[in-house]
Amino acid sequence: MTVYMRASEIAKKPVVTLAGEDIGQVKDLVFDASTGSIRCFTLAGRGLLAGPLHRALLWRNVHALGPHAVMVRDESALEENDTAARSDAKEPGGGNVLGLAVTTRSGVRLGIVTDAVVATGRAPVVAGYEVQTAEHRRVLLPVAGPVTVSGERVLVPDATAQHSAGDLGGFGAAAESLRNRLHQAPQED
Amino acid sequence: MLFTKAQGKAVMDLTTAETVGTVAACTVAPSPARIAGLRLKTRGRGHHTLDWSDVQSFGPDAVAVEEAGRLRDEKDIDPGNHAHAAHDPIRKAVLTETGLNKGTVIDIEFDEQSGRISHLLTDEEQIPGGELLGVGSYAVVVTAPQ
Repeated sequence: MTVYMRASEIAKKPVVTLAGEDIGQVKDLVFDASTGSIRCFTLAGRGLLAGPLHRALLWRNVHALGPHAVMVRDESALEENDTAARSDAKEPGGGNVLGLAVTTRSGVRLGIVTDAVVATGRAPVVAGYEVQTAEHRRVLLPVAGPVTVSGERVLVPDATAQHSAGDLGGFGAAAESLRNRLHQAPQED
Repeated sequence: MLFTKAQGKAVMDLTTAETVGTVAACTVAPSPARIAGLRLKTRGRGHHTLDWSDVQSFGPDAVAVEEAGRLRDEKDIDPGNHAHAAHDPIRKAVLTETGLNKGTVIDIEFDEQSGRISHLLTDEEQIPGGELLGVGSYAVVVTAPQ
């Protein structure tokens, strides 16, 4: 069974090697606005007096993402510097998915992205977004099928609006039913 | 044998027949899971470490070592060496390689002859030694069920 967590919950998690050493702590997440997924983590050192660790951890170098720790193979999984975390500050949209509007392909605005939902495990992926609607309700929208992200908005299939979840417990079922729906009627969008 | 049963055993020097210390803790290396060293409580300050390969025999009442010169001061051991104190698993958190916390190691079950570890014991379960991936200063990492 896939376990989901909010991307914001990854912050403060320790980064642990398979040899059992903690080499850092997740400070922040850097989203990739062109794909809507997570590009990398910025890290802080471990310990009371540790400052920022100027080494980024790229999403693809994560061995597994769990509820209690971010696992990496060894210390070489970290980049030598943190340019990966900075590079897209110049791109339009500020390189962040948070704050973008979610709109269906037929032009209905569902709300504003406030967080991402991540499927944990050996191949962690962004599985959806937490969206704040115009009525200030927070719902979780799964992503499946053709999703397009620009610096202005996240475009999702129309069916997404009918498959939202109120909390992470119901998210798995919502993602599953959206996938089935899109699979049965791929021409709908 | 459980390691908690081995704690406090006298370590005797076979050349002088004297007691050089008592077993206080151990360090562990993975693949295969085995005891890499024994940490001894010795007279005076500081800890001393004995490589498992220098243990002549691990008897029911005492541990024998060829000569006291085999004991190394803990400060002289490189942190990467499996005999370093950072690789002591007792009271460390168990994390699976997928980042799930499975409790705390309270004891280990090992073979006195070979030093092989058959199980890591936590409050809830026995984790087979074959699942051990690493013991570090932060956690004990084990494989995750597929």
